[in-house]
Amino acid sequence: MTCPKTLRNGPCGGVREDGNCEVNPEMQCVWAKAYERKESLPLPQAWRDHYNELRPPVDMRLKGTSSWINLVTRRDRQVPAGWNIADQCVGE
Amino acid sequence: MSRLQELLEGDSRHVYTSEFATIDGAGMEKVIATAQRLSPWFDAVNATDNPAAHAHASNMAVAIAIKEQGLEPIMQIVCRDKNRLAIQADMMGAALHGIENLSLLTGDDVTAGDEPESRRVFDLDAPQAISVASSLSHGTYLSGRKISPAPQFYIGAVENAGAPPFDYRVERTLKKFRAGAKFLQLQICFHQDRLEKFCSGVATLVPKMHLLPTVVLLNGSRGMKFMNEKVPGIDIPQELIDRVEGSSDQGEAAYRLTLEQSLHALAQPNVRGLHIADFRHDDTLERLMRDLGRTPRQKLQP
Repeated sequence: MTCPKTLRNGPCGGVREDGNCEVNPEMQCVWAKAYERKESLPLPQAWRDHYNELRPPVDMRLKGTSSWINLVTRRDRQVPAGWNIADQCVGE
Repeated sequence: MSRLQELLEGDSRHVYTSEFATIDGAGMEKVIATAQRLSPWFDAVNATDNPAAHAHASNMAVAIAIKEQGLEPIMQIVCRDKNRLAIQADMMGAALHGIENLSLLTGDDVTAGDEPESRRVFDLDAPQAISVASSLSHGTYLSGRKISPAPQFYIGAVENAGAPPFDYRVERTLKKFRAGAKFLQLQICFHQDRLEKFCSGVATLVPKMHLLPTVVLLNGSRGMKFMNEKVPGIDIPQELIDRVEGSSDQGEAAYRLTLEQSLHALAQPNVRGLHIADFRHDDTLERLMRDLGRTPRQKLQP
């Protein structure tokens, strides 16, 4: 995760005209790069759709632990009980 | 239901919001003077949250002061300075004081400000903060702990139609809508083609989202150059800078540009009004509002 603002849900509004990062102008915005790739690579639509998923706040307790083990054990899928209540209520 | 919500969801007239001044000195003089100046023209005003990563009197203190002056506040919360506990506490504190309108954004990085050595937080990002505000409105803290009575927030957000990746900005609007945002105050966009494309994209993909594009009142080309060079995410076409710079009356040329941008923005789909940032602090604010067909409300009694 190389976004200097540690953003998890896409590029912020500070992306520069050349597509580079607000914080580090020498670096391409990682979210802009990912967007470019998801649009241009021959990926299944379901994979493309991952880009727009609302990702939950990071569980800081997992810092320093193995992301592979957390993936396999599904520990990284645990979210707080009050997370994303609104999505169930869209259209109200 | 907040007055802003009633206005945006009604379909009568245009809705105008503005940026309240940043407050630094002790005492209420500047708050009162700014409220007097803005109240005849605006339906609601933003209490900003350390804009451009400079510390000022807090968003909540200013929002309460605005409300006490009889104006409707929109409390801005950025994700840069506080973690999820503090952000939820601020939202609940706002609700305690009857502040219902929120504008939730990621925020400029600390490197944009005058204390770039600060720790940046970003424990939440803007879509997550929107979702958390929605959870609170549905009677639940992020932890799942219940709240009764639940606060009634009218949640807004910000989007930059003028920053790459341009096509993505509409998808991001849908993400924010699904998380609970009902209106967007757009970042100033000097590229009319980008704004047009964004608004028509929103009209197709997120038809219920209310848009308030920002326009700025500037003195002349110096301010334009500053924004173009120093503010990431804002690009001003050289021909516009030249047009203002080459004029014998820069103030007038800058005003004509703002009026032109305002009329153009108001003509776009899903646009319900404008968000106006006044960097001139002269009589052009009143001139702009009158040129846009707005009649002043009675001034607040001091």
